[in-house]
Order: sequence, then structure tokens, then C-alpha cells
Amino acid sequence: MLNALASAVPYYPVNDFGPLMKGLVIGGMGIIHVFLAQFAIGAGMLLCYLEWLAQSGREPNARRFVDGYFRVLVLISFVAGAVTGVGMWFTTIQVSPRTIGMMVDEFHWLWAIEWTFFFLEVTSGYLFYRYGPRLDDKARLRLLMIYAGAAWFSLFWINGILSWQLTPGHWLESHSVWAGFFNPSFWPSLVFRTIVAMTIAALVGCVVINTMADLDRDDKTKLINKVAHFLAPMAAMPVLALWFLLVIPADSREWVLGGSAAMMLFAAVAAGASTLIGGYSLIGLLRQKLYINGATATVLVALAFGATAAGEFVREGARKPYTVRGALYSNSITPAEVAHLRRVGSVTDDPYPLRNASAYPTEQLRLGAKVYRFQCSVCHTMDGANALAPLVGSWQPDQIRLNIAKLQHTKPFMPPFAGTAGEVEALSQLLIWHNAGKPRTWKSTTDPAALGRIQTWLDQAGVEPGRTDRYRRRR
Amino acid sequence: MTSAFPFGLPGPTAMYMVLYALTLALHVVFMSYVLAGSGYMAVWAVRRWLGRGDAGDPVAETVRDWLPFGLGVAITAGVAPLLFVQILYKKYFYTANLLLFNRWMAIVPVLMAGFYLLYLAKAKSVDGWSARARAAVSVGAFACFLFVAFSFADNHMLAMSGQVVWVERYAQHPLFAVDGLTPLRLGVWLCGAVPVFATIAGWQLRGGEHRVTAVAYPALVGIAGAVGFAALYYNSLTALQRDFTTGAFARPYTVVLVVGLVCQLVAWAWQLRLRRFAKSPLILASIGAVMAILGTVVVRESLRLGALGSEQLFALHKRAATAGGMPLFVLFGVVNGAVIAWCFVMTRRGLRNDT
Repeated sequence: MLNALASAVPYYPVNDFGPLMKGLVIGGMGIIHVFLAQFAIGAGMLLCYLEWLAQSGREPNARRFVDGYFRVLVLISFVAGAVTGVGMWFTTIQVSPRTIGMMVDEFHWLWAIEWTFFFLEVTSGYLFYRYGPRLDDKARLRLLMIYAGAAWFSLFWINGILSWQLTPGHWLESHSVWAGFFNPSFWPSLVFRTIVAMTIAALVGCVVINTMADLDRDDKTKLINKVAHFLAPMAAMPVLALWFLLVIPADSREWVLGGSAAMMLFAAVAAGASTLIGGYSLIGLLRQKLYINGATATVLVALAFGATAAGEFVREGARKPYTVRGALYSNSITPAEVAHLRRVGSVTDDPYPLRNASAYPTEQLRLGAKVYRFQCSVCHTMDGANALAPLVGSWQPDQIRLNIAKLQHTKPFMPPFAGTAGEVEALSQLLIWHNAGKPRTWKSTTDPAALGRIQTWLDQAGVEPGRTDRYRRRR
Repeated sequence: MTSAFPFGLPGPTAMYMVLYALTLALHVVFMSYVLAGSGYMAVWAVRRWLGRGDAGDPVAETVRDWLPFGLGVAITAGVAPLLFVQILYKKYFYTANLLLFNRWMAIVPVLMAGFYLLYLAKAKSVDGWSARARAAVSVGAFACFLFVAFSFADNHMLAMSGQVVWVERYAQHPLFAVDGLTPLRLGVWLCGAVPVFATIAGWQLRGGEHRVTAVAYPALVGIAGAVGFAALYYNSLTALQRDFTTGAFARPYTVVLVVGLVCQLVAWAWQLRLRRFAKSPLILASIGAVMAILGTVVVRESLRLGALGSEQLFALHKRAATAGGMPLFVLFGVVNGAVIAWCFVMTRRGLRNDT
């Protein structure tokens, strides 16, 4: 049984991203992709609406907007959106191949369904882009509706997979794809993202209208007021945010609402930016029907980008210490493997050597470096972003050992340490040596008493994940 | 692997293999159009810069117009094989990705640069640029797609190398290392792309008075080049690997591949004789292209399965096959396929009504 388990822990070559935390790399790519993709989804719906306004005679300038706006859409979303989508897969593989592997294993048929919608989206979109101005009204509207529907359905499918990572719901027991897909945060996420998509599209639309040189100020104002209808659903955002917060796990909610300063700050940024956009949109554009110039519209688009970035950070961060809640920790170790790795060691079977082995003066430090690479490097760096060295810089050696051995109790958004007492000691020594300025000579620690203390702490910590309510009454 | 593909493989492996092969073949069609089409554009632009090119080359004009769409579809079509390859060869594919690291990740910005260069090449404002600048745009786009093709070929070779090579490569961490067979693989794909591109371009230009030679000669050279590179590649294989390509598993597809190449040769020779893009030889060239692509894809997989196939791998496929959603995929595949066809019909009718 143990041998079977050991062979089931896959070891992949781990790349060093330098001072960049891997989470920042995937977060950066993800934010750009999400923003572009949501823009494309909202833009599809907006174009349908404006085409209908043009065809029904309610807004004569709408058709000019549709034909002009669509070219921007194609250039941005077809190119950058499609390529960053592929980039997301590549980046996820670089950061956590096991996470993407688990997602593909569970949801590949749904991803394949999404692929059929991509094809429909590209085909209908390009046909409109190429032939739109020469098509009759019926064909124009139908193509746009198909494009918008296909784009929204691509959101529908990917939303289920992404929200499953945070709230897998009954999937944990049944492993049913539909239990995982229609998970507790599926609907609030889907509605929220749809509104975000409409908002981004409307704001970019306001920028584009300002570039239409052949329209006078009154015509632009009329068009802007029509486009602003897509900002009205923002009024529902606070309710949806509350709904989302209610369905996510209690500990995740606590990180966002004050348990983690960074998470709370990002949540505040997202909420603040959304409030500014919503206030301006609902009062200025919808109620008072004001004109918005290109510069202000661009600032609002930038604010929307900021809100998206902060919101995605919160969504990613709220999953900690998991990448798939209850199934896979951030460091790509499953909860079931922790006990096994505590016995055999986390890097005993890791075939990949250190690239800079000669930089470490002792075998113990080399072991520590391999443990750091396998268990810590996905979220931490030594001296860069989310650095460990300054974090432990003021700690005494035993404090370092204790905090690593009882990692999930030190901070409940950390996974339990999945290694032997010797590996805890090796990692502790690595940190101490690093903070001592990486001297050329270093004495290995072999004190059995220290190892005994670490083992006791590991046993006390257990292999279960940490809980914020461990020593406090549930509210 | 004693029966013809996909028979003899465990059910789940066979299912994913067939889906992978079919979706990869679809991707190869559009990939070939982009790779060889951008190559044609680059050669044409350089010739014009050197004062030898024909300013009104209809092939170049048509390709320039359609390449951005071709690339969009190629990328979209590439998503499905990228999905299925992760199920079929997860650890191998991921490890190769990780070992190539910077070079592999560079695909994303390079692809984006290539995409925008294609749009730039068809922009009206670029017509006013100097011939040298226009050549730089076209050559730049082609270089981008060549890099992507090269990266995928190298990834494939690295994935098949096995753990000993992986560990060595990881430890050495070379800035730029290429498997010795990668250039030959790239040569096969690059040359093989030319007749596929020529066939699509032929359909696009059918009906007009165009010079067939502009694509027929490159197609014939491409076929000869692909055969040459494939022969060199075959020559470098071990006896066991050669058996995989000629054994019962891949033999029918090797035959399909050869017949496909012959069909293409005959079709392009016929086309040259007629001196115009005619329907019958184009149909023959299309059939030949489809046969050659499918044959190549299966022969390629026979080598990979021969190297990596194991009970452990098949067990992973079996586990993956327990995931739900396949009937819905089939349903949406059919429905969305029909809607795509309807989009084309609707667009044709819409244009007719408007005129």
C-alpha cells in the first residue's frame, strides 16, 4: 500500500522564478486573460443590444458603433484573449502541473464542450467581422446573437471548473462531475462575472464612442446613455458579493473579512473600485444622463481592471491552503499523502537534483533546499516576493522548527508540513544559514534531542489541515 | 499493439487516442495553412523587396487577407488536442513543458506578436511602407510561427526522452538545448504543411485566372521535402522504433500516408497540366492531404505509444474515462457544428439578399 502511494506522488522538475512568487506570475497572466475574456463576453451582448437598437430605429448611430467597435473587439479579444487563454494552461503547468492535471482529469469533457463553443464564437465573430457591413439586418443580428451566446457559454463552462476549486461541494464525497460543476459558488460567480463582463464592455464602449470623430457631442451623449444601460446591473453587485461570501467556506470568508490583512486589503480595493464605477455609472450616466469624455471613461476602465485584479487575487487567495479545496494543497500534495510523506520523507523519491548543489556547504542544507523547492517554493521565495528569509529573520532556531513542524497551526492558511523531523531540521537550518549570509562553512546539526522535539511537535500538529476555530468558540 | 490502431488498445485509451488524432488532424489543417501561408508571404515580400516579386500576386493577396482568421481557427482547433494530450501523456507532456521553461512560455508572447504582425501585414496603411519594412513584417510573422512549430516539435521529443534524460537536462539547465531529431521532425511538418496550404489556397482561388504554378511547384517541393525528412528521421530510429511504424498497429496508416502523398503528387501534376485551379484535381489533392495528415498523426502516435505505453499509463486513462460529461460533449459537438454550418449558410444568404 505504501509503495503504491509513494509511486503515486508525482515529482516534476521545479523551476525557479527568481524574486517573483509563482502565484504572481499566474495571477498576472490570469488577470489579463480574465479581463480580456470578460470584455469579449460583455461586448458580444452589448453589440447585440446596439444592433437591435439600430435595426428598430431607436438609435440611428448604433450601427456605426457596432461596425467600428467590433473591429476593436476582434483585434483585442481574438488575439490577446485566445493566446492568453492558451498561456493560462502553460502557466498553470509551470506553477502546479498536478493541479491542472487534476482539473483536466475531472473536467475534460466540460473543457471539450467549452472548446466547441470557442469554435462557434470564432466562426460567428469572424464572419461578422468580415461580412457584417455587407449583410442584411437579419443575418447581422443572428450572427451577433450566436457570437454573444457562444461567448457567454464559454464563461458558463469555465466558471463551473474555477468555482469548483474553492467550493467543490458534494464532489468531495461523490466525485460526480456535476456535483463539482454546480458547486455552491457556481451561481453567484456566474451572475457576478456576467455583470462584470457587461460593465467592462460598457466602459470600453464609452471610450470607443469618444473616438468616433463623425459624431457630435449630442449624438455621442445619446449613444453613451444607451451603452450605459449595461452598467445598471452593477446595482446587484453588493448582493451577489454577499451571496458569494455566504457560500464560501467559513475560514476562507474569515481571511477576506479581516483574518488576512492582504486579502482584506485586496477585497477592499475591489469593493472600493467597484463602488466608484457603480456610483458614477448609476448616478451620473443612468440617472442624470451625463456625457462622459474619453479620459474619464479610460480611468473607469482602469478602475475596472484594478477591481478585476483585486477580485481575482481574493478568489485565488481564499482557497488557501488548497488549490482544490479538500483535495490538493497549494504545494501539490494531497491530504492523504501527508502522513505517508511524514514517514518516508517528502523528497526521498524526488529524482531531480539541485541545480546549484555546490552552493550549499553541507548535505543537510542540500536536503533543506530540496524540501524548500518541493514544499515551499510554489508560494514563497527566499528573498523576493512573499519571502521566507525576512519572515523568520527574528525567530530563534527552536521557534523556526516549531512553526514549521506545526505549520498548519502557525497559520491555518498553510498546509501541514509533509515530511520527516529530519526534513524540518534541514529546512530550518537552510533558513538560518541563509539569514547568516550563506557562509562557506556550516555545521550540520545532529542533536537527537532537537529531532525528538520536532517529532513531538509534528505528532502534536497531526496531519489534518489547520482550523481557525481550533481554540475558539464558533460564532 | 498487435492490431491496427485503435484496436488492441484498452477501451479508454483507444477513445482518447481517436479523439486526439482527429482533433490534432483538424488543427494540423489550419496550422499548415498558417505556417506555409506565412512562409509564402515572407518569400513573396522578400522577393518584392529585392525587385523580383509580382506586386499583384493573387495567392499572396488572398493569403494575406485570410491568415489572421486561419491563425484564430488554428489556435482554437489546437485547444482540443492540447486537452487530450494531457490525459494521454500527462507526466511526459508536463515534464517537457517544465524543462523547456522559458522557451516554452515564450510561445505565448511570440504567438501574440505573430498574430498582430499578420493583422499589420493586411492593414491598408502598411501598403505605403517601404518594401523592406513590409518584408520585415512578413518575415517576422513567419519567424514567430516557425518558432512555435519548433517548440512543439522539441517538446514532443523531450517528452519521449524518459527520466534519465529529464534529470540530466534539469541538472544542466542549458540556456538552449535541442534534441538532435527535432530539426528532422520540424522538417517533416514544415514541408508537409506546404501541399496542405496549396490545396486550401487552390480552393480559395478556384474560378479565377490565376497562376497555378505559384502554389503547385511549392506543393511538389514540399511533398518531396517531407518524404526526404521522414526518410532521414526513419533512418535515425532504432530497429524497435521502426517496427512500431511498420508493425500491425501503424501499418495500415503508413499505407494511408503513402497513398495520400501519391494522391497529392498526382493532383498537383494534373493541376499543372490544366494550368488552372480545377475542381477534380483539387478534390484529389484534398483527399490526399486528409489521408496524409491522418496517416502521419497515427504513425507519430505509434512511435510515442511504443515508447511510453504501459499498463500504468492505460490505468490512468481508465480512471480519467470515469469522469462524466462525454454524452453532453457529443451533443454540443453536433449542435454547435450544425450552428457553425448554419452561420456560413446564413452569411451567404445575407450577402445575397443585401445585393
